[in-house]
Amino acid sequence: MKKIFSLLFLLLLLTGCGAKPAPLWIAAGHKQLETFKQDFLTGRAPRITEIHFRNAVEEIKKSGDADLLGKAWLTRMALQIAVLREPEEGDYMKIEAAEVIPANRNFYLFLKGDAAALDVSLLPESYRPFWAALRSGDAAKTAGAITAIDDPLSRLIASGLAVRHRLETEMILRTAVETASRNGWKMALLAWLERLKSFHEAAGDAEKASAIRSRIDLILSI
Amino acid sequence: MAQRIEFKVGLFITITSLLIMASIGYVAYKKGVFSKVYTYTLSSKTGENLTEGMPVAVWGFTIGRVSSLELNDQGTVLIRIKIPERHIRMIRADSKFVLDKPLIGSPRILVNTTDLNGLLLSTEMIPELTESNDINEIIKRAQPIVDKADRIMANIEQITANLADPAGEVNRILRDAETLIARFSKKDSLLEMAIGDPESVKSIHEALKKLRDITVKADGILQRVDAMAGKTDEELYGRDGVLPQFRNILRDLLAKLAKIDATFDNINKVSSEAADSTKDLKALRNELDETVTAIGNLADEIDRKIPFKTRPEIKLP
Repeated sequence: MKKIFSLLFLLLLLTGCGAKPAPLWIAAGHKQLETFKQDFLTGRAPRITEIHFRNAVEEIKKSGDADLLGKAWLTRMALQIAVLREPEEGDYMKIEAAEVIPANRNFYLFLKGDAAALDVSLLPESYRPFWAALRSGDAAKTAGAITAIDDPLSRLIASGLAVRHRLETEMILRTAVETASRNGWKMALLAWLERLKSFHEAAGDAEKASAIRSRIDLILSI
Repeated sequence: MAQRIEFKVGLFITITSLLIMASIGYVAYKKGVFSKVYTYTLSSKTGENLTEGMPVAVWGFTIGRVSSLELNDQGTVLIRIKIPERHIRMIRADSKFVLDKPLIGSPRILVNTTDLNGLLLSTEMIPELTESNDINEIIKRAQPIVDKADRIMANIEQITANLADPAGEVNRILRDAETLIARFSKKDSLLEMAIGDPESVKSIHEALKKLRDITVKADGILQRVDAMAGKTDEELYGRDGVLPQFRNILRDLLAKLAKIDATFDNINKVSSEAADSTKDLKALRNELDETVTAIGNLADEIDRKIPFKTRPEIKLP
């Protein structure tokens, strides 16, 4: 037992020397935002999803931190792109009017697809190869860059951006479907399956389209 | 010569003093100490929830504070708020002042201004402070808490269902732990098991180390559960709430681990004296490994289900 106590004591000592716990508003804001992301992608009732987002914003507002507040609204926009919806700016522009955060401004331009004003060096690192491929207009290269993104949400956002830039290939759509499916993001999965079905229909491949239709029906019947 | 040194020292002290004063002055200037502060008066029927120093906020940004509270002859509470000149543009004649009482956190006064180009509010005017008491507001705020409680309940239910199941993982672990303790408590068996084979003793030590690591890990989870306990409602975290029950289960498990640990200490003593070989040691090692792996899996599962990170970070997706 003495050894266990010694170990525990050492652990406590190390914990004490480590980083201080995050302030409550960050913890609460982060948790609400993560719940919002999960609920949004899985397709929980929009009323509940929205409450989580509003709560996250309220928590962050307690600090008046324009950077984090901007990030919260940009996260919302990015999620809308990830499920192939039109992104809504919400209060982001208001926040930017109060204080411009270069990284946030750049991410906003990235989501908007404003290539001229975008500074690649300010983009989150995981998106840089994707952005370069997207700008080259090479669909195969873009699909490869999307597949290489580690984070599933970032991968879905990149896929959504590629579609918005009319770089739509079966590989990109399948990558997005696979990503949503593996993570159990039902709403995102349905959106991407619908897109894939339309893609096959447009290409005149009725068999593939019908298989996707069956998969959608199966998901909706659960 | 001495006079010259005195002059230099004097000059040095004078320049240093001037520099210090200039620095203090500059910092004070930057902090807005010299900027003009406007005092506005608000009225309220009650002084409940109002305190001196309470923040006054616009769109989540603090722009001023309550400087004083007083009761006038008509029984109305007069609230004086101080707003620095740089934020004065937020206070307009049509501004509404609302006392915001969040379910969690301190109350504050919110200023709602629709027209930032409207007339500035005169310091002679006494607008009324209203309260955000809308029931819908409360429901809106309560929803995520209920939602969260619901999720935790579902997780706890899963764990307790496992506990109630005689063939469940937790019961199996406890049975295994009890079997081990029972075996260790028999002195004859102990003497049989504890032998001088260095390889076997080494493997037991490795298993023991693993067991201790898991004990520390489980204790870490307990600490996190404890840290959660002071934060939310009575039903969930109160004396009879679900989380304390969950914590008791973990404590029970830890107590059993501690017993095993003590028994191992005994084995170590005995093994240094005994020098006989036995097959039981291998069986014991297997049993121990199985128990350790099962406890480890359980600890990981609990850890996964209560994913409270110490330093959450809000990042771009």
